Amino acid sequence: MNRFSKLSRMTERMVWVLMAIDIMLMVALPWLVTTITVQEPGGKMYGDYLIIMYTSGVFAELVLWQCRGIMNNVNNGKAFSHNTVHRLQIIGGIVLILAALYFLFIIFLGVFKFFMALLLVVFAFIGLILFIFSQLFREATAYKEENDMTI
Amino acid sequence: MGIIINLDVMMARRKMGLTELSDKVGVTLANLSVLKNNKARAIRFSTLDAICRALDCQPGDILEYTEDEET
Repeated sequence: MNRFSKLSRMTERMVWVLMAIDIMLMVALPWLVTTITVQEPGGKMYGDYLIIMYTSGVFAELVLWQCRGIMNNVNNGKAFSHNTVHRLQIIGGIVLILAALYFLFIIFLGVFKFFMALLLVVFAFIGLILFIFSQLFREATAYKEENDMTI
Repeated sequence: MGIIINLDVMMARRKMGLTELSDKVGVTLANLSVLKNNKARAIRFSTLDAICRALDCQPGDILEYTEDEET
């Protein structure tokens, strides 16, 4: 096992840990929102914060699930496969949807406006980059298939 | 694709099995099977050279062009 495969296996385990942490944070969110934002349940902004954080948490979990699949492909020597391309597209889509939701939050909810505008731009950019990466992986997969079928 | 591999015909003529050819050519059984069943996308000159040497034939004995219906 070389250094890279050790690192990628460790990363796959880290993704599992992050997924667990994400779930735990979502379970604790009603209390965490009170601690972080000093908003009491039933307070003016409490619901808004809760909506934003739950949405982010659910989407983070979806992205991590796809990342786990990609890392699993990498660890099984199938990095350049149609599955990886599909997963990258899904992540790109999820991130773009999240950016769109943040846009709606900025308009309709009254919290974190500057911070969320910043995140919106970052997520939109990452989403587009991921779509480009998925296209790169699609071409690489085609080259690999061509190479594999050359005797 | 209009290119057909007649490897099995040539192997039958030389009375050579896939395992023996695999050993002589230095190509795995799986890859040779892919080639024999016309599933390959391309063939390297080095592979063709080794197959022609092992079967004592010309590339034209193994490769055949037929008019493709799709094109």
